[in-house]
Amino acid sequence: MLAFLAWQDALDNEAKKFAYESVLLKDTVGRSVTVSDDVTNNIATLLEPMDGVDEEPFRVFVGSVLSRHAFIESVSYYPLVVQPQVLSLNESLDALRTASPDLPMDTGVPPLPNELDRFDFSAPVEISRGPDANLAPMHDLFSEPRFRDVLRTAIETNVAVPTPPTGMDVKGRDYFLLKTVFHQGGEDRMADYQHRQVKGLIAVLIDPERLFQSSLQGNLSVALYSESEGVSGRQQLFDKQPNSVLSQRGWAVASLAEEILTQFPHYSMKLVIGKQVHAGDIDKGLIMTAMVLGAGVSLLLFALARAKEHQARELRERNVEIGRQVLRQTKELAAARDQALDASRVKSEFLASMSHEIRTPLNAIIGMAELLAETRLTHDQRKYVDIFKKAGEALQTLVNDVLDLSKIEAHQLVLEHIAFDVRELVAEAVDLYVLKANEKGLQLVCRIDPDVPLLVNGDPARLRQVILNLVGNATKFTDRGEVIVRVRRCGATDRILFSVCDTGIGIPSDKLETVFASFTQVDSSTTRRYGGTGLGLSISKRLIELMHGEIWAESALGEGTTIAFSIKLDIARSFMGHEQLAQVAVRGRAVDLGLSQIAVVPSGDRETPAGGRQADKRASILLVEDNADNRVLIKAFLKDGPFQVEEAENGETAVNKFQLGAYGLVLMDVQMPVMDGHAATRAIRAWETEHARRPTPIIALTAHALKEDVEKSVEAGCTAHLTKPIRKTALLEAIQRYVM
Amino acid sequence: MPGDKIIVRADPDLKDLIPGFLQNRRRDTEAIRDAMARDDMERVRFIGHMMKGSGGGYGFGALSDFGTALEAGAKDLDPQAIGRVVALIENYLDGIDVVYE
Repeated sequence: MLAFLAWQDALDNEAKKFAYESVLLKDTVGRSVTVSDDVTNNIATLLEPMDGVDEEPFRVFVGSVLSRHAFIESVSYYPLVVQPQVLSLNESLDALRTASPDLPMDTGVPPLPNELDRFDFSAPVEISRGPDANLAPMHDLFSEPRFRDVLRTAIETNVAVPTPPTGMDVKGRDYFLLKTVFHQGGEDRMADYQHRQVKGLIAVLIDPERLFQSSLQGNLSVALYSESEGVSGRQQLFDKQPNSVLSQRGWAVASLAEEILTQFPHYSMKLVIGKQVHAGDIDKGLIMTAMVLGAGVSLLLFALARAKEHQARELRERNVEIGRQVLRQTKELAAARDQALDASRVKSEFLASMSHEIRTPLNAIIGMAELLAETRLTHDQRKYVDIFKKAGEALQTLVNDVLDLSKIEAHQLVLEHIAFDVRELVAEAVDLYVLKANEKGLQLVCRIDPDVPLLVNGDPARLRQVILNLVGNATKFTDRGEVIVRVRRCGATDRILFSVCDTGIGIPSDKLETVFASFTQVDSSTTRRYGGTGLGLSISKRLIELMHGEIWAESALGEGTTIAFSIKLDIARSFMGHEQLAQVAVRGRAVDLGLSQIAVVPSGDRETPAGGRQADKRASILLVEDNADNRVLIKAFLKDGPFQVEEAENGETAVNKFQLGAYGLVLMDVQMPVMDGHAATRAIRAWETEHARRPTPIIALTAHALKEDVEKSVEAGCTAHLTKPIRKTALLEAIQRYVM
Repeated sequence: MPGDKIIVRADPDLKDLIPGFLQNRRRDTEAIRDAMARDDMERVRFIGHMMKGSGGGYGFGALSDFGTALEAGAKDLDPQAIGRVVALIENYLDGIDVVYE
């Protein structure tokens, strides 16, 4: 490719050279032929005002012309005379020769025949270049039809016209430029000729080779043609071929040519320049360079390709090696994993085995102690049985705690993720300590905020474990006052905050940091007085951390302690149906209808709800139902309860009443005219938000039990969903759960 | 068999309400016939909808089904179907024996 480009470039260079060479030639020849034409016309013009040939000025003018233009061989004037004038002309000629002996002059010519007799070619006034000028007789020349035709054209026009080559010189190329001289004032050629206004004829002899002056290049072919109308037509005036020896320049690779036309009134001069470009003319340097470069580039590309191939091969080999290493490491990792799994399994098996091995005899001890306690025993025997039963229970607690902690630290403990009722879980856990609290004369209170969701996803067992631990500690370390368990939502997040606040002995501030450490109690006296393993809070902390929560303690010595923790509990999307709601048992805990506040007073009767039930807005129920029979039915279900029921026949009425009243619960039918239950719920929730009101529980009542329908109720803002036909127990259960 | 009663077991707590409830259902059949005479299908649909919503709550699940059928017949503008359901309701009401337990 490079070599081809270099070759093309070389040819372009030759073309440029040719163009440059031919410029000079073109310019020179063009000027020369133009000067020839001008001179011919000028001399004719000079002679017009003269009656005869005014020798001196003619001679001077022509002399300067000859000295300036080497291509003009001679200038001749042939007068148009009749016979009587021939003598007069010869006399004039003699006089001229006498006056200028240096000027070579022809002695005249014999008269021409026929129509051309009017020009006296026998006695021209002729001034030529030198004594070597070899001029043929003019009358012979103009006897030829070619020349006579030109002569006739010259006579009939007033312009210069070229003759064919005369053949008079050695090379045979010289030609005349002929121009008629008129008497001054004569314009009409034919008329002048017929009326004898032609005075004479100027003939300027041109050497065509000298037209080129010194511009001829040896390597160029040159041809000069005259082209005119008439018989003469195109005449080759000059032709020259290049003078190089072909074999030395190699074969012809290109042919260059150019034609230049110089136009005159009645004729034109055509110059044809040509050049054969031979191989020997081409500058091989660039081509060689290009070839070398091309070879170099090719070599480079080849080398690059080889290098790439080498690189690719190396890469492949490296990849294979890496693959082998990866495989080896994978195997090693797999072996390590298997070892770890084995170790983990061993640990799990150990824990399970130990758990079983330790718990089995413990269960036997405790179980036997209970059985023994039911038999007839002496006072001392009963005392001993109590002691080892309590010891067994204490040991069981310790074993459970240690095993739990071991499990957590061995990362063997996996939390469950199931839906459960967090409210019920807390209430039940607290419930377990009602008896103990009562024995100590403590008030045990459980408060759950209404915006705490019903169903959440999490590990209920482990959450219960933590709450039991905290409530147990609070009850244990409080001798008077109260223990308040509180559950509330952290703002608009799905984090729930649990707190257990007591009025117990408190924790010194310097010990607060360490209460969550394993096997740590406030001091040794705590263990002696209150017992315990010192693992409870540590396990609780680990469990809360596993739930991605945090736990902390606030306390003042002698005033009480608050242990609080917050965890994220997602709202469970799968909603329980009414059958499941109905199955959620209250199970006889001391929960007042409409209240989730357990008030245990030291009356010894835990089944008696706290006296003096307060009639407050939390017992007021808004029943929204368009079906009158259903309103009657639901009111009948609730008639035995501490409820004040107000009715609304559609959603719009319900929203208006809600905004004006104060209700602890809304029972909302879904399908209603004017405004349905979902729209009314959304309106109520928006109003509550706008007025910073805590959400009131809204239970949807609908004939639809599909999961999608339940979800629609939840999305609208309903707290719960009951499916029709409504059962009394299910309704009361739901009310108990959600109304505070 | 003819003469046999349709036993419906109801919540004793509703003993005071059920007679009135059943009486309202008889009134419903009369109201439906009136609406049919006036070609008021919307009224028929409303009565059927209400019956559907209340029947089961009182322990009369069949009335809920009848209400569903009335609602569908009204939507389909089928007076013959509505007439058949009304006859069924009347027979049912005549034939039930409520047992409170």
